Parts: sequence; structure tokens; C-alpha cells
Amino acid sequence: MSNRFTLPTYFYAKAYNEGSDHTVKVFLDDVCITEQNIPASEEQVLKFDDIHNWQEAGHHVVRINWDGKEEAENKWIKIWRLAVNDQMLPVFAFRYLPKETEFIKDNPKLVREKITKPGQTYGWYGDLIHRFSLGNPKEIASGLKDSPHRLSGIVDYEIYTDIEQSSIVKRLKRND
Amino acid sequence: MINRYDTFTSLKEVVLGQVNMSLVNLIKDERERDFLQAVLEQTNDSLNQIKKIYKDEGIKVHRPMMVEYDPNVEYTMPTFSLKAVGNPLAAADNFLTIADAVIEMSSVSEHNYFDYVQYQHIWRDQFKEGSRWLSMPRPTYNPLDIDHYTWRQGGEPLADAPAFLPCGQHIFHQEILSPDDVSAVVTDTALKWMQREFPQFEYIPMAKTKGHLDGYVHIVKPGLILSAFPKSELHPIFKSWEVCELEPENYNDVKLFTEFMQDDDYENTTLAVNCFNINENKVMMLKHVMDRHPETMRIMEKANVDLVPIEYDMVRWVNQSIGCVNNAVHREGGRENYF
Repeated sequence: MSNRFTLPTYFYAKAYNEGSDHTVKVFLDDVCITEQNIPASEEQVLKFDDIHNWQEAGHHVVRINWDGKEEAENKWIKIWRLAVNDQMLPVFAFRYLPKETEFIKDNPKLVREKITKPGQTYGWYGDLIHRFSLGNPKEIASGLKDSPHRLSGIVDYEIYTDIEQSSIVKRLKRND
Repeated sequence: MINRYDTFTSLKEVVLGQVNMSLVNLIKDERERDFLQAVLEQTNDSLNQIKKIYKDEGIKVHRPMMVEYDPNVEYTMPTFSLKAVGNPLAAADNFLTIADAVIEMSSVSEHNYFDYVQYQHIWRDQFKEGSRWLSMPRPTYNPLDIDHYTWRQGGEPLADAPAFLPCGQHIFHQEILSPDDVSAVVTDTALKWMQREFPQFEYIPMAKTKGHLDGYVHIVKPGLILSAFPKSELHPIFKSWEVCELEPENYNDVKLFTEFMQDDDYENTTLAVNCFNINENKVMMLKHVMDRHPETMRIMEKANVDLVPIEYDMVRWVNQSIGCVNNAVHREGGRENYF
């Protein structure tokens, strides 16, 4: 059923793994919108450009789960765009939650450095999570005061159901 | 004793924000908690750099007292409740020091409501020394009073301190465009309240600003301003000033700045202008901004301004830059006319 939370949702990324078959799943809240099994040594585009019903105002999550049969040194997933209702969410702001492997356990300093300054290219299997608040200004403000992330001091990104409320620089340009 | 009329004269006393690590326990997911802990620890490292600079400069530093997170406690008002008192990182957001007074602001965001409990000891001591201690009228944030578009304009006096930028006998403030301006960090009622309480200042709206002014401009010294706008878009009062422009970028071009870091986001880039003066010739600035804007560095050098680099990469996550985590209590300058 269409409502004001049924919104264009756009995701564009690329993934590569030199040494192993691997799988990328993209979840919008709990809904898996795409699952791609990618053969080793093939660079693959991951794209979602469709209408999604986000159901209600409040906190929402985009989660990318990346895993593979084996570890490989040369593997990556690179995220280029994420937009909801034609408003971009910055791709550098994914929370990077690597799968716990021996390497991850043995290199806490490197992991800490990478998860806090991830850029847009990720080299370890695991989850990438982007959180945002959706709604009109009142709904967003109301939701933010309950946000544990906001209270703890982390930025909450905002997506307006009326795009005119958003900052112009955050609007998606589809031809880029 | 509070004395603050500007952003650039010699700093004698300051409030430096604090990181409350106990708030990581608000996050249920263990891996996300680890991430937040890493962000806050590195933020704390940045604050410690700043603290050391103040020590070396002989500047008196005050710190907020944190309210430890307790999952069994909820902070409740008639129209809302909070799970915790927020992180007291942004010492400048909710307290405007102006002239010989501090104003406890009524933030546009409910989640800042209880912030005052973390700073009251500082203002109490300033009051004992002879400063004025004021509070804006307490807002209700009553959701019944507000509708879809006019929620910030229903008569509530709401303002964040960085909606105002003092410069001697002038106070610049965020432009109030219309009732549906959702980015407003000051309401019309709050601006009128300020003007009545502090009539000795001349108030000047800063066009095209849609948030905290310290994300748009920084007055480095009389005659020199860092700006996210070109000179043509600044108020004509700056016509004889040198404008050092750090223009905002957007989300469209992803350019890696270092292996780990990119600086293409609007918020961070405007935060490039968010600096804090030790005096007219010494300014703390984000190190990655200095690395990225060599032309700005040349202009500052020419103006005889030493830049002190602060390694503070976590600004992207906490969105509180150098000017936000520091609140000047006492600067040397008075109510001069700098124009």
C-alpha cells in the first residue's frame, strides 16, 4: 500500500574478491532487497533503484552484509551512493562492523583506525550499517530525542518525506 | 569572571567539553558499542590535545561534570522524557557567554534540555565572582502546540548559543527566513528576547545561514574572516574585510583525502571554518583542514596568524568541531566597534 513512506531508494556499490566466491546481501530494516552471489575474480555492480515502503516515521537502518567462502587478501566492497527519497546519505558514514576473524582479533589498533575512518572502501567481511531518521521535521525531532546514538554524541542523519525540507547539497543527482 | 564580546581577543578562561564514556552503554549491539567507544576515545584524545595547549598558554580551563548513564533512570518532563543526559561534548552549544553574563539557552532540541546540570558548577562560580547568570524562558516543547511545519515557531523561545556570533558592539545571528524553516536554530521569539535583554548590541542577520553560525564563518581578527560564503554573499559590513573562503562541498564527488578518510561531506567541510582563537594571532584549526587548504594557510600566514593544528578526525561522527567543544568565558576584548 502506498503512503508517504513509500519512497525511492537508491543504492550503488561494487564488490570484488580475487580468491573466493562471495555474497552480498542488502537489508532495508529487516527486509532483504537483494542477495548477490558473486564468483571469484569478477568485479560486480550492486545496484538497487526502486520504490521501498519504509512503513513509518522514525529510525531506520540500511545494512549490507558481506561474506565469502574463504578469506582473500585482495577483496573489497566499495559503496558509491546511498539515497532515500532522493536525499543522499554520506557513504563515509557507514558503521563498519567486521566479522570476527583471527586477523580482526589480532589487530585491534588497525581495526579501530579503520572502523572510525572507513572511507568508502571496505576490505573485511562483516556488516556495514547506516542509520537515519525519517519523517517530517516534527517526527524527526521527536525521534531524535529518543535516539541512543544522538544522546551518546553521534550524528543522526535525517531524511525528509518532503524533499523540499532537505538541504539542496544532499539531494541526489541521478546523472552523476 | 565572564567577559566576552568576540571570538578573537586574548583568551583567559574557557570551558572545554568532556566525553562521557558511560553513554556507550545506551547502545545494545556489542559491535556498535565498540565502534562508539573507539569514536569517543579518539574524541577524548583530541580534547586532551586542546587541554595541553591551554595549559601551555596559561589559560584557566573549566570542565563539565558528567552525569553517568544509569539504565534505571529516566529524565522526565511533562511533554517528553530522555533516557540519559546527553554527552557534554559541545560546551558552546547551550550556553551563550556574552558581555558579563552567561545565558543558559533553551535549545531547539529537547535532548539538550538537561545539559545545564553538567555545567551549573561553572556558572555558579562565575556568579560568585560577579558575573550575571541568566536563563532563557524554559520551553515546553509541547507537541500539541505545534503542527507539521510551524513546530519551531509556535511562540516558544528556542535558540542554540551558536545562533549568535558576537563581535564587539555587534551580534550577528542566524537569519530567520520563514515559519517553515526547519533548520532554524533560533526562533523569532528567542531573537526578540535576546534583543530586549541585551539592547546595548546591534543585531545583524547573517543571510543564507541555516544552522549554527560557527559552521559558516569564523571571525579570526578584525579585518579577517573565514567564510563558507563568497564575500559577495556576506553582509556589506564586511566589505572592507579580507574574506578567506572555504566553500562548502557536496555529497556528489567522493574523493579520498587519506587512505582512511574522505572529506566530501557538507557538514565537515563547513566545519572547516569552525576554529577557536587563543588570541588574535593564534588559532586552533582542524589539522585535516589545514592539510587540505594550503591557500587558506597562506592567507593566514600573511595576516600574521599562527595556526595550531588539532588532530580531530572524529569530527565526522560527532559533528562537534573545535569551536563547539570550547566556550570562551573570558576574553580580553570589550564592546568595541570593529567595523
